[in-house]
Amino acid sequence: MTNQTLLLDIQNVHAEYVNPHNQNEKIQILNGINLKLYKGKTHAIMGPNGSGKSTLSSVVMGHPHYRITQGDIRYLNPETSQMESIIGLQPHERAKKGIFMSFQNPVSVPGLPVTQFLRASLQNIRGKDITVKDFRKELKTSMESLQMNPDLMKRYLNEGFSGGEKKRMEILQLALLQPRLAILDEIDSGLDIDALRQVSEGINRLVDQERAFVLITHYKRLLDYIAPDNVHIIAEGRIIKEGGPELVDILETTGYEEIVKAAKVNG
Amino acid sequence: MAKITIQKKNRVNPFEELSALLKMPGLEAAYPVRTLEPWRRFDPSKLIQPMTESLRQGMAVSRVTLADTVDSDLKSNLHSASQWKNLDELFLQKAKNNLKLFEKKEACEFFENLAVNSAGEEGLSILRIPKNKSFEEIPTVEISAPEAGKFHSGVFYLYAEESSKATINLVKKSGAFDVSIVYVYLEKNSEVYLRYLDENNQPSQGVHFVKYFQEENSHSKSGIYSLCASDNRKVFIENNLSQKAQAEYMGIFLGRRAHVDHDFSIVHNGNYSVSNLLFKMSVMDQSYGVFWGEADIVAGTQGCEAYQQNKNLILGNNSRIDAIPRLNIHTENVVAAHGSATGEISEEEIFYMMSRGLGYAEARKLLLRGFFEDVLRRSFEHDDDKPDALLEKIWTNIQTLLGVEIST
Amino acid sequence: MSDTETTNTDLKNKNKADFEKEDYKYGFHDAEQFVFKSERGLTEDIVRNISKIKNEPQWMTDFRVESYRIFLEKPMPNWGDVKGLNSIDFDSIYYYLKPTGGQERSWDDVPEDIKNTFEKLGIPEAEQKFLGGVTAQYESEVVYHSIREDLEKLGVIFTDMDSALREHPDLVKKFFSTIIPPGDNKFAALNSAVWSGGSFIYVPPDTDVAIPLQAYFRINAKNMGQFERTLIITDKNSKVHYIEGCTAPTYSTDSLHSAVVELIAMEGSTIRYSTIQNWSNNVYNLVTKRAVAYENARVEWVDGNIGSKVTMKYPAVYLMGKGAHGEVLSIAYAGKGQHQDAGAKIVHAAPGTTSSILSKSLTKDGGQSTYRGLIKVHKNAINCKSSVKCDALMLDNKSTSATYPYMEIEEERGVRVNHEATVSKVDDDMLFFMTSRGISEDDAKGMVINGFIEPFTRELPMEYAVELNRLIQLEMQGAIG
Repeated sequence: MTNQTLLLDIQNVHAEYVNPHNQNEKIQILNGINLKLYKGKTHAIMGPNGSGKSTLSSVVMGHPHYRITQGDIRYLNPETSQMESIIGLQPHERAKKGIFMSFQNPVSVPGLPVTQFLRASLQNIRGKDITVKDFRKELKTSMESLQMNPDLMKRYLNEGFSGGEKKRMEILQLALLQPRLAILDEIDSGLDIDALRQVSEGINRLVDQERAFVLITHYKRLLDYIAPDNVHIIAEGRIIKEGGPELVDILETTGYEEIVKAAKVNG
Repeated sequence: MAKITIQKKNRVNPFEELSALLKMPGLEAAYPVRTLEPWRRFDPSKLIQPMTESLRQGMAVSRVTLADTVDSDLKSNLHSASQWKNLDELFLQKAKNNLKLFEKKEACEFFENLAVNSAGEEGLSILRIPKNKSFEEIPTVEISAPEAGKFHSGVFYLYAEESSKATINLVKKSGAFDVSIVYVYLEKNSEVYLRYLDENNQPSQGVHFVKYFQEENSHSKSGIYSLCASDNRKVFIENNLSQKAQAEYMGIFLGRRAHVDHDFSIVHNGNYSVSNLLFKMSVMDQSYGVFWGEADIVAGTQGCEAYQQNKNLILGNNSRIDAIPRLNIHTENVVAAHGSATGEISEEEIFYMMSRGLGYAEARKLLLRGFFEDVLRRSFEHDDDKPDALLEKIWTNIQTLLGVEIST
Repeated sequence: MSDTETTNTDLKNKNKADFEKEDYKYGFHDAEQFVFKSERGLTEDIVRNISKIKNEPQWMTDFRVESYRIFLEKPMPNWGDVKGLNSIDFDSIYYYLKPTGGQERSWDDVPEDIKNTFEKLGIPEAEQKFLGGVTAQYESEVVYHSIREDLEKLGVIFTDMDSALREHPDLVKKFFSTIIPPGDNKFAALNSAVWSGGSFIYVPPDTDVAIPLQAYFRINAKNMGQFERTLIITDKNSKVHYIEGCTAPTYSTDSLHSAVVELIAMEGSTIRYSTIQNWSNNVYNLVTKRAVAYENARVEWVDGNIGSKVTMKYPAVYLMGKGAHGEVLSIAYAGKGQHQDAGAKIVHAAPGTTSSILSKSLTKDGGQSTYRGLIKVHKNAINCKSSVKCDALMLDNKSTSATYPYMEIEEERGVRVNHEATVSKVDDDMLFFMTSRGISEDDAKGMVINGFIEPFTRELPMEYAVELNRLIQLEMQGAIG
């Protein structure tokens, strides 16, 4: 293999969902995930419903409702160039280290202006203030490159946005925040052909030697626009098969069931 | 909490109690007890007169019969209190210890006690739905006031045992004046669907209570159809929900020269309990409809949901609507919402239909029909092959009241 | 927009210590120095004395005495915060205090001590050209007021109530207590007997007062009750915006604030009355506020309730003329030991009238917030439209939120009355979303809350919006930190 730099190392992670109202109610979802993500590579994670795809991304991002019961997640610290465990960090601390997750269902916050939110987020992640003027300039540029309607900026965060607008807002934040690790959780869901194309173009423009992309999806469709380097198949909380882009076509023809069965047989 | 004591002798003299409560010199005095919140909008003076009259004629108890069913199991489970010896298992005894109080103001307690004490054993009927039993048919329980002019009282228990399932029509034929209580107790995992029609062919007045207690994971669905002409009534509907219990209410009130108050009080006592209330009122010809919908989410509960929708149509001629949807929330972990809209039949909607070729009268008819239809559709499963007798009765009553034909 | 963003940055850079210092910015009081101090408790003699000291015409004295009698007779309300109401000890309150000999004209003439108080409260900042005349009340008596020349030229009268009674007796007599009679409720009767200070505004026809007129209040001295009386009249087609914002220091014994505000909007005129109430947590704030709107007139109440131990306040608009419009926009924040029982009352007594109510409440730490509202449509008030929206945001599981809307509709022709209410909490998912974008949990909560009250803050003049955002952040600091 060529010189690949490991960016994120998920080591035998077992995780459960804990009911926030009743701490005794727990559901085991991840059953030993082993996954290595490399700088400059695009990884696709595919799997049937209930396989743990979204849980995986939530766990990497540090969602408070999920608890890691075993294993570790190690991330390349840009300052020290050492791999460090991140499972003790809060979501905003992980964000500051350059981890980004786009939400399948972006949340809307009534009364919170988009610009206010974006600027606060940007300042926190960059660790320094930006004047309103500079911010607006940056914002305008990014929006134009994504062909986004500038009127969206005058509204409240995701309030009344269509599915496509919400996803584009996610990509806009991705473009502004410039993360090292970008996890896109079903970015293609709810998008029509045109929207999908625009979103994919936006993503492709951000693919970079220093950055790793993780595309979590059911379908091949997104991967026609954004070519993955590595494909990982997840089922029942485990990565059961890994390979190159050809795996996508195999999956397309045989379907998940077959592959899962085969994986079980092979142990 | 009203205590059930079945008394054979020495019944409390309702005349005296009522006088004392209302602090009146004699029963003829007609003034409202306005300080009691649930009665704020109700004009008890309109009640006192007919009550006095009927009490003078004498007291009688309502009779309960079971029709529209061949199921022997069900038939054998309809008892009158005198047949049922072991009262300990009944609703109140059981629920008494774990009931979050249905806070009752004095007048309500008075009428509850009045109902229980005057009904006595004779007027107390119980229908048991046996454990795990699921009834295919839809029986009709008829509660009727047999002796014209007299004061009637009656208490009816519907007791659904664990995991039982039944749909029951409850048809009430009130007398000139009556006070009644319907207790509905749902044991764990039971499902009861109650369709409650007040059918009167003479003006009637009274106070009615419908009290539900739902154990864990039980489901109740209740259709309440108050189709009233020249009536003066106060209806209290209460529900106490335990963990994961669900209650759905769909109701319509259509009044002509009637003053009817529907007073809902749903208390969410258990985690993840759900209530859903849809109530529509339509008033005409000097009628007064009051909707009071109170949902209470008790402190410390998790994940409860309380929804309420109220829509009201004023069809004209000096009528009035009071809509009071209320929420009492004591915890952050809830989903609760309510909405209420009052108005007349929209001119824009009529215009729209006329622009599609319908005449004014016809357009109005269709819109009126639509107003009731969605509640009725939710209450009755649509089966073209088997027309539902109760549904037909309801439409007939609606049309008679409206004075216009609006069903298909 | 940009200023709110600046605020959030400022806040982010402050640390907890700074906030604690600020917390007591409003929690101080001066050594008491007063010219005359009335006795505790209330008697008919004290009422007469108050009138005598103020040199009032006979009709006002008679009015006060009659009101006092009504106050004695009227029972305490049996709804709302009944326990709190019944714990008020009327006999231990001072009903009148006069700090200096007379009225000042400009800053230079104001006593140093008092000037200090005002400076700490930020009043000099408000004394800017574009803000117009400021009437500042201190201890029941107006010590300072200045009417800008512009207002005088327009014929606008903006003065304190006492001066108005002296200088424009006929005008005052024509309107005083015509909207809220002393018999309205026990606290209106009390105010009618012992009122002192408050603002009087009269705007002549076809006049648009472009700058918001403001007033400041303060309670000092133990057991001082504030009984200001405000009367605002806009003549045909005129417009005015009045802002009432107040602070009070913290005391160990309770203070009573029982104000009466009457607004009269003549044909085609507009009155907007904005309040941010931030009484310290030992004050009983029982206010009767009512407006009458005539044909095509408009009345807007913008009501912010942040402080006090108990507030009972239901700004009302009586729509008496065709095409009139009434609006109430209110927020209530109830923290530990607080009970905000607020709402709105709109009466449609004429055809073609419209109204809207938006009420937002926040509760935490066992606070209690109640919305109590009434929409009444009288018979023959055809073509009326009304819509009410109540939203409650609960910040923990110890607090209470109650919504009690009443709709009484007696007319259907062209009438539409809508009401909706929701209860929500700061979603975990919402927080996770925001924190995953680098925003700390505290800041995220603050953003959600500010977003929640945004429809209210956007209606306030800028510095009030800023002050309000800061106040809320301060209050929230405990819960979040």
